[in-house]
Amino acid sequence: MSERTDDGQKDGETVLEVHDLTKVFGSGETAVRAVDGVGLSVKRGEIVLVMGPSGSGKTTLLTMIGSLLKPTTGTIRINGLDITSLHESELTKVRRHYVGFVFQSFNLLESLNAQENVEVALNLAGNAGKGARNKARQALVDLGMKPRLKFKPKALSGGEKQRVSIARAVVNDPQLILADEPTANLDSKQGHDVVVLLRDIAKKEGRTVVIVSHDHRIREVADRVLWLEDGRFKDIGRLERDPVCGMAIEAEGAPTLQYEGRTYYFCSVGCRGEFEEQPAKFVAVGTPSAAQSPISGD
Amino acid sequence: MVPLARRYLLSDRLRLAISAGGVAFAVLLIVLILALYQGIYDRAGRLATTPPTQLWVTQAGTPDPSHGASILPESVLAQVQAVPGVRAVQPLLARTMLLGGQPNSGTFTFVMALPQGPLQAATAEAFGLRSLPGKGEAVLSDLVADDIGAGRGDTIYVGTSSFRVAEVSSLVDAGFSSAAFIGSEDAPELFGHPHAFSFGLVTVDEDAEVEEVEDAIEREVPGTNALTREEFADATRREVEEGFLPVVAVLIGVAYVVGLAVIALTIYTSTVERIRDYGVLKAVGASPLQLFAVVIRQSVVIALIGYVAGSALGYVSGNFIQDAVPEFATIYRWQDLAAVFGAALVMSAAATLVPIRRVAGIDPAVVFRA
Ligand SMILES: Nc1ncnc2c1ncn2[C@@H]1O[C@H](COP(=O)(O)OP(=O)(O)O)[C@@H](O)[C@H]1O
Ligand SMILES: [Mg+2]
Repeated sequence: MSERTDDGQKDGETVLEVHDLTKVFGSGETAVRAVDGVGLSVKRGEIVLVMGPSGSGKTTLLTMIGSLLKPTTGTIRINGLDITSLHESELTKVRRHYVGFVFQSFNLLESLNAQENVEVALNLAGNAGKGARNKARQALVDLGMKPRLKFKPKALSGGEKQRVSIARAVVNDPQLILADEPTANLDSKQGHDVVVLLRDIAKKEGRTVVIVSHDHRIREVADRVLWLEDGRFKDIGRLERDPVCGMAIEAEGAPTLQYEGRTYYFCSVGCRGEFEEQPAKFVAVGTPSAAQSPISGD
Repeated sequence: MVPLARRYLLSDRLRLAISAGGVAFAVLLIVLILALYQGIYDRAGRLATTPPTQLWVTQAGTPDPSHGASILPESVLAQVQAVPGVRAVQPLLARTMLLGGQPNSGTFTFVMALPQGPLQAATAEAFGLRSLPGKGEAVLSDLVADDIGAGRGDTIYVGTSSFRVAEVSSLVDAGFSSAAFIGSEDAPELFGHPHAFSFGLVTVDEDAEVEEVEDAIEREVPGTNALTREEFADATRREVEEGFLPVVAVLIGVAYVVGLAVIALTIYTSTVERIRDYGVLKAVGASPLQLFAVVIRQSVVIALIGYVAGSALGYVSGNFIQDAVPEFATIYRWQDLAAVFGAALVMSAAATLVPIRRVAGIDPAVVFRA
């Protein structure tokens, strides 16, 4: 594990710098501008949450930042290194040492146990033998996975799988952690634990964390929230929380419903329909934060 | 290192068994075919190297005991004897004929007779003949006796002539067919050429060069062909090569292709099934070579298991076949086993060619898509 630095934010160095980034899929009439002239700068120890409707280009943006997808134009700098100009063999090194990924669907190797899933990332980076084994073990123990080290993914809960995935993401000590919907496949307790872990990774270990999510709890730990729509960052409108699915949504244009003198906002008419059938169920659980003040964009 | 290849192999044991079994089957067949071929090849040359003499003299153009009927007039014996460097020449009468329990039936047998001559006793001993058969008698090799179901004292037929079995013993095999001896009084009539013999067995003087004597015989005794033991053996072996090798090559080729198809298909399907895993590995920093190594390791391990199992089974079943069918001799040469080992490794490498291309073409961005 890395040294636990102080709060990490005070030196204010820029870890990630994205400039005028564009990705066009396809060409001619069927071309899709998934990301369209995006700029972004994130400091050490900062947590940035990217929100936006489905299909707005969030995953595409994250994939490019993670060096897994070549942008059409624009530059991405991680720790000052322009990764857009690198060859594939150098990108391999970027993936090993500069970024760690946390996925919605965990992406663990089913044939390996928890510890091996972490160890394999060390092996790929040139760390083998007992040292690597102990390091993988320690990374999992740090995340409270000690009783599950030898469990195969199949035998782990979603929350446990995500811990393994987080351990794998940080084990090579990258400065930048990228997470795409890390809590979407988890129940609320497990999701909460993952949010806490991601916060600690940024605030205690001084890493930079970029998260794509609809999870309102991440909003609470994020230093900044960005709204991506049609491949561009927009000023964030008023955000509301869908009382049915918990997703954060822009109030403007969202389906609404009046209930007991309050306006509720929904991500879709489907959620509104569910609410209409049994409003009491959702209002009882729903927190007052549903009506919290809007968060502004950057 | 996390033994990823091993984990992958062991995660589907049935597939591992099928793929290693495919390679083992191919190796088994190839090892067995080679061993049988070597057995035949070795036996083919054995007659030539059995007598205690250095040179064979045959009728010109018939340097092969199994197929060419060599007939030389008795007068040649004296002519050969007169060649400088020849110490002694022993006549041998021989012909491949049907030998069985009924007239004109049975098994093709190399029927020989040893007339009186300077090396009669030594030659008989070299062939494993304890005593020369008398008139109307035959000595059969174990193989022939076993084949036609005859024992000592039984009546057997060579063509239509009948003989009493005086003895059954382990005679040295003669070329393709097993050996039998008959009395030399019966031979001229049976073989149909009185005052003639088939082969001259020549010992050369101690101070003479075998090759020089060989040349001298051919030069001074017209109509003959003189061969060293090795040359005579090669003549028969060449026939084995010409007759069997193409068949052997085709059989080995088919076995190889079957083994290759099995391992290639299993490696391909297992790689495609795990294509997402390879994408994840690439995303977390695997180089193409590291990914290839995972695929290749699996293939090599399968080939090694298949090789060990296949060659062991080949050895066991070869010995079993040899016991069941004594005519089949099997010879396992380390060169053959090494070549099959190399071929198995090549097979394992070839099996990864297509899967590796699939792995090389993975877009690591897929890991972000659920
Ligand atoms: N490989 C691809 N080929 C073509 N179009 C793509 C590809 N990946 C994403 N897209 C398109 O780009 C847009 C943004 O997708 P994505 O980044 O997945 O959005 P989000 O993660 O915000 O839901 C969508 O219109 C999607 O269909
Ligand atoms: Mg997405």
